[in-house]
Amino acid sequence: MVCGVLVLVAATAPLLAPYHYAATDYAHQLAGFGTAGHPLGTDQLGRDILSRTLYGLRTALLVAFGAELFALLLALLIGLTAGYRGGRIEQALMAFTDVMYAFPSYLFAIVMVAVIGRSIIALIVAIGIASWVTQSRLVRAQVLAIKEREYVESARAMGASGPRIAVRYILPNAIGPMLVTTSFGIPAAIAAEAGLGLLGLGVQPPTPSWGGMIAEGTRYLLAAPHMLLAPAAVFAVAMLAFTWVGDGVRDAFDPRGEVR
Amino acid sequence: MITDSTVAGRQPQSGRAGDRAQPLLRVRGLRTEFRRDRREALRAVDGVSFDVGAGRALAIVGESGSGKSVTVRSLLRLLPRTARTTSGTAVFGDRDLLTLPEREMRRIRGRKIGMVFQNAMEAMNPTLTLERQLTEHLVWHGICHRSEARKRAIHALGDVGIPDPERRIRVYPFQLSGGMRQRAMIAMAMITQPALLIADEPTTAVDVTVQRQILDLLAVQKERGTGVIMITHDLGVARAFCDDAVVMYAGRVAERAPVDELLDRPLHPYSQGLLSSSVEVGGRERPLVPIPGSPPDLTHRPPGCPFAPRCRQADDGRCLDEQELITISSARDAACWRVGDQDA
Repeated sequence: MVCGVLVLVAATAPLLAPYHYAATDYAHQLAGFGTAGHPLGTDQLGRDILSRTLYGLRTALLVAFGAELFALLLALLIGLTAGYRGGRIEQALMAFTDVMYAFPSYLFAIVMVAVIGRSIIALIVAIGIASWVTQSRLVRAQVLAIKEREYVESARAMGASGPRIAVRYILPNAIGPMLVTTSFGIPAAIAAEAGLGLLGLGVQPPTPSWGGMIAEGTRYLLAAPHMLLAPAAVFAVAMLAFTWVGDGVRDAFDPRGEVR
Repeated sequence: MITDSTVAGRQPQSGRAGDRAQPLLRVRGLRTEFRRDRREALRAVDGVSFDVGAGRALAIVGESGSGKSVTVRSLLRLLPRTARTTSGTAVFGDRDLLTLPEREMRRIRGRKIGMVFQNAMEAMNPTLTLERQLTEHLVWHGICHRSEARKRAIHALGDVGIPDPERRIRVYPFQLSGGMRQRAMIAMAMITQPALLIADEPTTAVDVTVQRQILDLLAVQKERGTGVIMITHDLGVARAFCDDAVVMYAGRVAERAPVDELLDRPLHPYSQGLLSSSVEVGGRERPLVPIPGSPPDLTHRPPGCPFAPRCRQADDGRCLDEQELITISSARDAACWRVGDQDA
């Protein structure tokens, strides 16, 4: 529910936000909560915090969903291939994954942003790459377990070919747990995006990101605490909401939960 | 390694008038090994031979680990990666299953040779409805189109006694009862009307009433001319359903006989032990005699008869020699020197 609202708000941010995120109002700088025309106040440049928070939500969700989707697809490709084909291919893919696993993911993200630049795509790739590693190991583990199930043998006994078994028998049975980890990965990706923003590695200003807003807020903490409060509060709500979605997805993929 | 010429040489010449009825499946000298590492190999199936005729049922009996399942999986070439069939032939129709290219083999699996598994819950894809489960293979094999396949699936479910098949076809396997699932699986195996059906302990995981129903269903298939290989360790089931039996021990055939003869007068000491250690339903009360000891470690197979260490009638002098199957009649042989002595 809350998430639906969040996604809707993110999608319609330009309509809902009273101002453009970069519009400055020099008459009101560092204005507090409840200022006329700026219910959540303004920042040091007189930009409307409500508008910036809404646009920040848009950035956060775009990056988070993009990164998780990217990670999921990459993980499915690698994990499925490794788990199903086995042998040399598996060893090579898993060795590659282990090497990637050894990199500190934040460091990797920082390098990515430094190389590609501070665009949303760069963030998606950076955060996605940080999370596909664990995902593909999970896919592979799933595939290895499912491959031994009797229905896979039964499918082979029915004359199904390798790729067909992988796509029709292994993938659908592996996808449930994958979607669950992916949906739990979304709040993690939101946090990662905010974290990079906080370090000054988020999207290029003036595009708002919560991390960046919070970073700016800390500089005016005593003078204008509202600058930090609004994005931090929405950030907390979003994290909680998407974690609950993760729970929901997990319940939905319990096959016995389908029939009530 | 078997070359094509030796295979061709062993193939019965078909089409000539006056030939003896050619069996549906003729297995000779089947040998399958599991490799643990470069040096060690475990010979799980060691020189197994048998025939299955159309409309006849063969029971493969033996305790766990005797190589029953590996035997049938070798025939379908559904072995795990570490296992390899190293020699033997399995002539089905006029082709050797063991040397067919994988592409050809896929066309035989499911279409010409069906398989029924022990546990229907496990053997069905939980993410597919019965309709998909039953029709996918028909469509893939290019046997018919989706709509026709659907009709066939409904018919097949009705055939195995599932009431209201039009409605049931839309449910998932977990929504069916155990007996229903087992029947649905038989429907799945039979929908392509295979000439040979392999049933791997189809009655082991179900209760006795369902057991009866399953056997009746298989009997119907048998009457229609399907050959059946049934793996079982239940001699009662073998007697009720099968015509012939192969008793396996430590990967080898200990005895091959018509079921009734085997149960009335087992020749091999292992068959005798198997019989006296199993409960016979409705039979006279008699003490159950377990077979002492346990099967040999197949990685370090002792020379001679593999059963000798557990055999009550073992004779050190004679059991240490390798014992070939001694033929008693065309349908009967046993791998024990006593058999030769008695019937000589």
